Amino acid sequence: MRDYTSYNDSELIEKAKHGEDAAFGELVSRYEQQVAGTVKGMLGDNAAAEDVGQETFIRFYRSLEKFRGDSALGTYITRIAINLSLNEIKKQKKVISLFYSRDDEEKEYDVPEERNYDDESGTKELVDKALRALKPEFRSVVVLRMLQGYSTKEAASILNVPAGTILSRLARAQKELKKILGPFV
Amino acid sequence: MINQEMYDLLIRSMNDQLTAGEDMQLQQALKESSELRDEKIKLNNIGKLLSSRDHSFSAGFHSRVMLAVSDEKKGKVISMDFTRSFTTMFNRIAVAGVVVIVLLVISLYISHGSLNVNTFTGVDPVSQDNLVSVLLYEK
Repeated sequence: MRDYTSYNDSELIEKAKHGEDAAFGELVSRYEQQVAGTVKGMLGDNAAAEDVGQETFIRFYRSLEKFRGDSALGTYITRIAINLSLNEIKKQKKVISLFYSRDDEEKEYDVPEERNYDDESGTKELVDKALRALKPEFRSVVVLRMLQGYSTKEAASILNVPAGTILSRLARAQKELKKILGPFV
Repeated sequence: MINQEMYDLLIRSMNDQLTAGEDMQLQQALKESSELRDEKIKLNNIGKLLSSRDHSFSAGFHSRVMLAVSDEKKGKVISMDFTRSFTTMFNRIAVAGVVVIVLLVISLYISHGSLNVNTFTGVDPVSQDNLVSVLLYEK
């Protein structure tokens, strides 16, 4: 089997466009973790996040012909992942509002109870809960800036909002996170 | 009690470039307030906690994606084939239709010697006299 690891992203895209599935497979391997960080940061560690992750790569595959390389491939894929995650959150909210009262909906975003979060899975759970307590528009900024390490400018480009909006949302999110995670750090 | 303005400045310093004046102001406030220093440590720890979060998909994710891509490709080929054959079929039917229409027009012209509306509708010209005689006969 051909080794694609030595090719750069543009070369792999060209090969994938010409029907070389293994080249696309190499791109999936390269960006799998980045997409996982984005969708799991947005949706939590669950089956919905796995589905959105898969859908992200399928959407990317469908749009291979349209990709012109104006932005870095990682940014492009992250944009797809964030948009699909935001859509999934909207979908989930609709389902929640159909079956639960508003009070129940609010309970879902409760602050984590005080217990021992020392181990690795505990920390992960704590961070997940803290992120879920944030509104999606704040969560997306935290995921991009603090989890994925994108710059303010890059985050603004991914979310299609001005850089000032990113900064103000981030400041508000950090205050919220401090309220939630403060007792544990 | 933490000065709210300094707290906001502290948060901004973590995400954005402060001006020299703002930076000096913040450094001074940090020197003077142990609470603000604690806040800075907490915010840094939160940042570390979030960035240390390592995520990966469950085992078999890659294979599932590639399988979905393969299905997608098959679907694309089938739909492309359908579109192509539909276009070809439509063209053939359209050409055959035009040929039939032309032949009909020619045959009409040959049999009636003209191509007026009556020829197409198959109605013979009715003069006023004919109409009167028809009405009288009916009576």
